[in-house]
Amino acid sequence: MQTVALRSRRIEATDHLEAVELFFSRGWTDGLPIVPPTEERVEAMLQALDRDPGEIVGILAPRYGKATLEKIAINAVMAGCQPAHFPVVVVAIEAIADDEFNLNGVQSTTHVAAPLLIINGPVRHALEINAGANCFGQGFRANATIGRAVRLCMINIGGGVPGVTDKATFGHPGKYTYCVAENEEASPWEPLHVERDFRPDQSTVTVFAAEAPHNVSDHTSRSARGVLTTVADTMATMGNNNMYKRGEMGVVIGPEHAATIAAEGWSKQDVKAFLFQEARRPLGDLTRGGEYYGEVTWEKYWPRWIDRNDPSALIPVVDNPEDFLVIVAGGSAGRFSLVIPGWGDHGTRAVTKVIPFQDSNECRDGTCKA
Amino acid sequence: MALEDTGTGLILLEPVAEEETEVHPLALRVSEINGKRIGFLDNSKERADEILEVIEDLLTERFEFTEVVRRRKRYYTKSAPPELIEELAERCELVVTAVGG
Repeated sequence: MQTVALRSRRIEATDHLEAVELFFSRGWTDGLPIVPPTEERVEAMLQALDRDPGEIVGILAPRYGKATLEKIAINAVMAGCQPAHFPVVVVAIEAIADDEFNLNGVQSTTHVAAPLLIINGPVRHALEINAGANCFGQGFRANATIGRAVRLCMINIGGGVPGVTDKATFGHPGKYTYCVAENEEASPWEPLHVERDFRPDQSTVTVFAAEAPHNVSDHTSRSARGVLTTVADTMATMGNNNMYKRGEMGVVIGPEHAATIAAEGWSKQDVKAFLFQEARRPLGDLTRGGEYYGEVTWEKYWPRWIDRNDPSALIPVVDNPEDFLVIVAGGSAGRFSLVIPGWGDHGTRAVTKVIPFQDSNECRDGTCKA
Repeated sequence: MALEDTGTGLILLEPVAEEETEVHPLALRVSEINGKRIGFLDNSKERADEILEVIEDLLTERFEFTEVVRRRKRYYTKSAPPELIEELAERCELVVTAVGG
């Protein structure tokens, strides 16, 4: 086990409770108590990857702070992560730092958006990342602490301070933690990472700048068309960014709904095509309010092929069926799905990165290697 | 994991990035407005265009410009692309930008 000198400034506290209060007073938390990052704990976190702690994983806006492995490890300790979670946190940071994601905008926007982490592949089982019952809720350490570690990095390395640099009017509860796994076993379709050109046996994290999930209840429909009509209707509303400002939209199909849809032989592409066709609003509705802004809306956002002189022309909620990010997740009981509107086309796209993870028992005690 | 006993308490690592902030001086101000080339950069957020129209009207009532360049950013959530900044720097002595919302 190699010990490398850690370079961060040191700070002293008499005991753990004082350390927690000290971190609150410095503005280094998300509002919840943290686990004090001692050298020993940070070193244990770093050993999960066996790389130079000074290695820069990404630059985090708006402060443009260097996300070194050491700084990420400190924040992961604070979040309550186990060393085994660390590789996932590191890759999530790499993903939000990617230019495609536009972290500067996501951090500083007045919109509610927060990075949603979607985990695919074998790492879900090894780390017990919940994809089943209550997967967007409380109760699972991996989901809770991996998402929280990413947020703490956004605060402490990226400089996202509410009301100062993080200008969110509201934010949403997912800004504490927003991490879910796809329930690949309950899905009749290829998982998200395979759609995005990764192998099924690879593990990935996909980051997507997103609103909080909006529930879709449909306990009545018994057909693919019926279930997805309810999903589509939930999507095409005047208050979300997608309707006027495009970009990507998340769709989480619950296992019961997925089974109903797949029983009719529908593929994931069929699901997306149907949603693209049905999640629309007439132009005459959309110009009554919302974010309609005349020429700018036409020039920057809405498709050229819409007849702007026809109030009955239907505007789709995204530009392309592939702009729906569709996963299956949730518990086995309940005929629900979720719609997760995105931040819109503000120069952001969902980004997927591979997690260096070998599917072996070795990883369970936090010693998996890249 | 055992608690550390340093005699004086716990030694903790600071979680914040320790950056040296680069200092960028402001561009030189112009002393004379008449006869200059002026640019207007709309960040493309709602009503930025209206603010700029009013400012352009007020300025052109009082001053004479040899050229007026109007540009709009593609994304108001991102910095202007370097080529756009270079173009405005090349073509104008003065640039007014507006942030809509």
